[in-house]
Amino acid sequence: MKNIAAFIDINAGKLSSRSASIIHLIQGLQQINETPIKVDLYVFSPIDQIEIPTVSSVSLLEIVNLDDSGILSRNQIDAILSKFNSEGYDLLLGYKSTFVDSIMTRASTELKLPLIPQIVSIDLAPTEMMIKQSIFSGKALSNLKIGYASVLQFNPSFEYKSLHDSLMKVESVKLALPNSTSFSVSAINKVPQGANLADANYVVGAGRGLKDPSNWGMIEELATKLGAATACSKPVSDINWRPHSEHVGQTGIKIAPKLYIACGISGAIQHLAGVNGSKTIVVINNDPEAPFFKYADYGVVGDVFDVIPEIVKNL
Amino acid sequence: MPMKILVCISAVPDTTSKISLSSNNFVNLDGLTLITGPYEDYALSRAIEIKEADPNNIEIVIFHVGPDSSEAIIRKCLALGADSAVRVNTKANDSFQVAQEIASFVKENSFDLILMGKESIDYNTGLVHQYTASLLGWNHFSPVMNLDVINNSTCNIKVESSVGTVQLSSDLPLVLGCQEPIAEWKIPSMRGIMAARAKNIVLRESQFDFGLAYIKDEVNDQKRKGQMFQRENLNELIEIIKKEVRA
Ligand SMILES: Cc1cc2nc3c(=O)[nH]c(=O)nc-3n(C[C@H](O)[C@H](O)[C@H](O)COP(=O)(O)OP(=O)(O)OC[C@H]3O[C@@H](n4cnc5c(N)ncnc54)[C@H](O)[C@@H]3O)c2cc1C
Repeated sequence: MKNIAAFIDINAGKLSSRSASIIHLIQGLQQINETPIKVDLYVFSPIDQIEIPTVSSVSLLEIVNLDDSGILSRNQIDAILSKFNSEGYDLLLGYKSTFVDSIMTRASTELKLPLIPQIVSIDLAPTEMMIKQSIFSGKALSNLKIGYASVLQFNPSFEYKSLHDSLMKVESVKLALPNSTSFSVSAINKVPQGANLADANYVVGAGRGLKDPSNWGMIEELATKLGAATACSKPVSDINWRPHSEHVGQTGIKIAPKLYIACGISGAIQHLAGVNGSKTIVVINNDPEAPFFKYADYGVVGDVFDVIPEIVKNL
Repeated sequence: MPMKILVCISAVPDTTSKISLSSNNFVNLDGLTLITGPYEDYALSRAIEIKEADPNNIEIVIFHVGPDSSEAIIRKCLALGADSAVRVNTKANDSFQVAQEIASFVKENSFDLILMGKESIDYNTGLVHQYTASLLGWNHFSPVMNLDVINNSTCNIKVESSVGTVQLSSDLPLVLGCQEPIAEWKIPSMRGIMAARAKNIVLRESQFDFGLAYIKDEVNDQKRKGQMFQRENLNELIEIIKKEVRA
């Protein structure tokens, strides 16, 4: 590999932790490679300057003129692909998102590089990588050996440790896309972009045990105290107690925080499928038989309306 | 000209299935109950609603890549109201392989609309619709929560995007990845089940190889600590939470 493109993203004004892992991996690649590697980092949000783990020969490209709808149109993907073709990248790295998916699938077909999704770990050897992918919602892992010419997409639980502690500042160069022409938008219903759930270090999730949407105040308070993102179970978003974007599980967002606190959630297998990447799971439920306790690191049998305010008070 | 809708379905083990390995160290699906992926169920249900509104002008074809163990699932789709089905007789190994099979079929047999789930629930990659659209050069949206077809030429779509939800219209042909609440899941009627017996499942040879070097799978049996606290000892748990957040 000598010419890498990587997608990175920003969380609360800083490099997200999932993107930091991607840059740490680039450090590893630079270390094993004898010839210098050129790195282009692509970002989709407005950023003039950002601090990243130190890598050499790096440029930051901010993609601008994105559509208000938050959708990349076909002619815009064409424009990004013609840039990719002219750069001749031989290794692409990125997290999972609709934007990144649409570019990576196109790049994989046009640049003829295999796309490997759902990567949870990588070992680098001189001519090839050993990759572990999460399959069956994390119930199993598959092991794959592959050469470096590829497109790698990381699961939220992917982690790669930094080789040096040093940080550096990079300034962005704008890369303007053409106006979107492929569809016409009639309405946009923006949802507040809170802490990025898929990348959050701490998450407080709540389920039907909360009884009513008006009871979410204490969940938000707990989340604010911990600097956590809020999540919910599927039925809670189905009945519109919480926005669909908070729904975690097999059919929702997959999270991999350091700490997940599940309040009034029974722990159905479909819910677990989205949260089993969490390092530590705390379960609060008033039913001692709740299945979630079997998948908990720490559990309290108790009423959420009593336990949560008590935790909030003492944090 | 009737409008032709291709609905691509995956056959996946029920989520509650316990995953185990066979003697060659790969995941063993033998003996597990396979179901249509829940998102594909949404896609098909919406296709059927669209057909019910204009039965003579809409044709629904089911497309599946998988071995003959999937026949029962395909029959069920036909019982729900799809007109015919095509099964590519090979194991579905990855998103690109499946998308290539879809795209080559669509190039030979023109379609107006391709619907599938936003992701299959076994590998959760959500890439098949993306790949299919890029191979065909069609417009693509996902995850679609609402779909109306206007005059068999344009679709009005509600889709989740990076900023929220967006209402838009885009001309056919289109590839869409679907999710709830695009339609209510359907249950086959007795009449549908009878009618499905006479419907055709065309077998198609696979055309695309799969070149990745998989070595082995492993079952991920995570051990959790499972430490319980009495309400009286909540303080101990609070200390642990504080430590976790400071670490
Ligand atoms: C195809 C499919 C896909 C699905 N995908 C998902 C998914 O992605 N994510 C998801 O979450 N679900 C998903 N589900 C649904 C899943 O099966 C469960 O129904 C759901 O997770 C249950 O949500 P819940 O735990 O909030 O509600 P419930 O199962 O009703 O549990 C509520 C819990 O709250 C507890 N409780 C009640 N009152 C209190 C109190 N005062 N104090 C403390 N605890 C209390 C109860 O003991 C109970 O354990 C899916 C289902 C299917 C069929």
